[in-house]
Amino acid sequence: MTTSLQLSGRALQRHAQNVMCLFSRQSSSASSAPVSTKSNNDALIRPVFHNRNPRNLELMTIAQKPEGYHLDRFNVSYWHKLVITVSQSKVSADIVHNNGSSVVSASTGEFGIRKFLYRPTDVSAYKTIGKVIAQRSLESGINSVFFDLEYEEGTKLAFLMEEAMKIGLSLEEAPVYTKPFRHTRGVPTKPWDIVV
Amino acid sequence: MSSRLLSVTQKALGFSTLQPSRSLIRMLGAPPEKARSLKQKIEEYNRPDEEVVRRVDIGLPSGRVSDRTLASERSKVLAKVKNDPEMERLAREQKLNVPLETIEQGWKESGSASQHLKTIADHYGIFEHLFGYAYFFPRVMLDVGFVQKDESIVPVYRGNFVKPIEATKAPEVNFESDKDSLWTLILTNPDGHLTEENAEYVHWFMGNIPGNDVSKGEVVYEYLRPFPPSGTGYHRLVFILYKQEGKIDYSSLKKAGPCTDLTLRTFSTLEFYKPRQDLLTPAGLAFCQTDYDYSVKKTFHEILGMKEPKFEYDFPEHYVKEQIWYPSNSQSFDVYLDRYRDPCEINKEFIVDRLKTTNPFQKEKKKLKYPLVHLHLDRSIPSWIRRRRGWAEMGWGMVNESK
Repeated sequence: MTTSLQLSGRALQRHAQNVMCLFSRQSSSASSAPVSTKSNNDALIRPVFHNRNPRNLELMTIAQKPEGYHLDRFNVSYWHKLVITVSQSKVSADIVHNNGSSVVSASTGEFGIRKFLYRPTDVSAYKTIGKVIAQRSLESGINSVFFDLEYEEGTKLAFLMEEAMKIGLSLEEAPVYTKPFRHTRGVPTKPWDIVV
Repeated sequence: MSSRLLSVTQKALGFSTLQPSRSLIRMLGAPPEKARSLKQKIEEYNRPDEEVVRRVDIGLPSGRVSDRTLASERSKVLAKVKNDPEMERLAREQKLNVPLETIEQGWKESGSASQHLKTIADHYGIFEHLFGYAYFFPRVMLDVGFVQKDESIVPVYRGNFVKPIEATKAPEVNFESDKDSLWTLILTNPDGHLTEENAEYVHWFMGNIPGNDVSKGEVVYEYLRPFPPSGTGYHRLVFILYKQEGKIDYSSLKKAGPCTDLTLRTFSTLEFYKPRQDLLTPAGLAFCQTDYDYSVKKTFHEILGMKEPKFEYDFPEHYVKEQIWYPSNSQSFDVYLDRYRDPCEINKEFIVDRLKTTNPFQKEKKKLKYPLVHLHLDRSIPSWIRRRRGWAEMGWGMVNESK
């Protein structure tokens, strides 16, 4: 990774308080430096650039995360969440976006996975699902997900998470980056700046 | 509730002795527990016409065999697995190693890959931005990879990250096909257009590809490496494979040589597809995301022959309270007053300060690791000035805006 997130503790604290009021704008518009007209390509460059990629702001860590309500049972403050569903006949793992749609999924109910397993809900089934969901989500451009379920070491769920992390799925989403105040102490570094 | 309201209204209108008329009840509307809320009414008003926004499948038909026909075969396989003592032993000892490559292969062959690919493409807004209300299930699995100098391969799946430096040459593309079928492969970037809104740049266009040999196809647009400008974030690079009904004449689109004029590279998938929809059927899809690295500068200068544009995300301004005569002394007075000063004036102050100690025609002094150690300020100087000097030395606060 060439990008890194470096913010002082105070700045982080501030932006956590101000997420809602600061990020009402949804489009990723940006203004450019003046450009000279040297060649044909230089002409007519728009001063405002609009990136249509709906995942762009999330990847730049400046998109909103839903705040939820104080008495909510579950934390809804995420972009993508790893959801694990267990039934008697299968284990499923889904990556769910905060708009509610399941984006990436893997399950031992899939015949392609089931035929390599002795039981659909034993430890090897959990391990396999951990591997498969991690690989599929990395291939889909989701490198980090939110996961807040607590589990003890040695449980089946722990095996699943361990395998997923081994493949390279990060179980912690980056915090939302907010514009620092002018009088903020410390050196402001944007997450998308290339730090040499 | 509603009857009480009615009686109150009747009293107010002065005909309490009369029977409640039907028209009056109608005028009052449905009781609050039955009536739609304002939110519901607005939602209903803003709901688009379903006929207009209905999505259309424009892809190849599913060649998938239904689960019911496969059920007996599958149950046989599962029964075999269940009665396999070796497998049971491995499962009990937690040594059952499931090959990920084989799972992926089966996933692609079973047809669930095309379902998953369509889901994730919708999540990335691929169909919406390329085809409007049309979509397709990618029935042909595209195997795309950029070959590197050390012969390693950077693959393209469905949204993974590829750096521009890794995509300097045209990728290797493989897919399963008959020998006599013809295909078209297009690589576009729907996010990177520098001059127009809602337009794409075509990076690669190969038409009339015989079988699965992309190199034997007709080059309509030569490969152009991706150039996401600095600060614009992640751009999608979308490979779409179309199946052709017969040979198509692309001479009207064809550009000779390495077409580096970006106006000629402006493209719209929908406008390209609409007149040719009887001849082309979208069959395969793969896409990756790319963001700025230092090789982009070289691309702009050497290949496109233009200045490198740099963008910065336009954050909304912070809210600043109205200035008052007697603010609380929880913060220093200079910090408070600086909020209401012209930023240009503050920046000028910092620049003038800097120029006092540095010569603009000489190289700047090396940054010290602990600058405050070398800053000897007399105690007689007011503390707020000392603090400002210290912050400027450290590079904290508003001094960053003047740089």
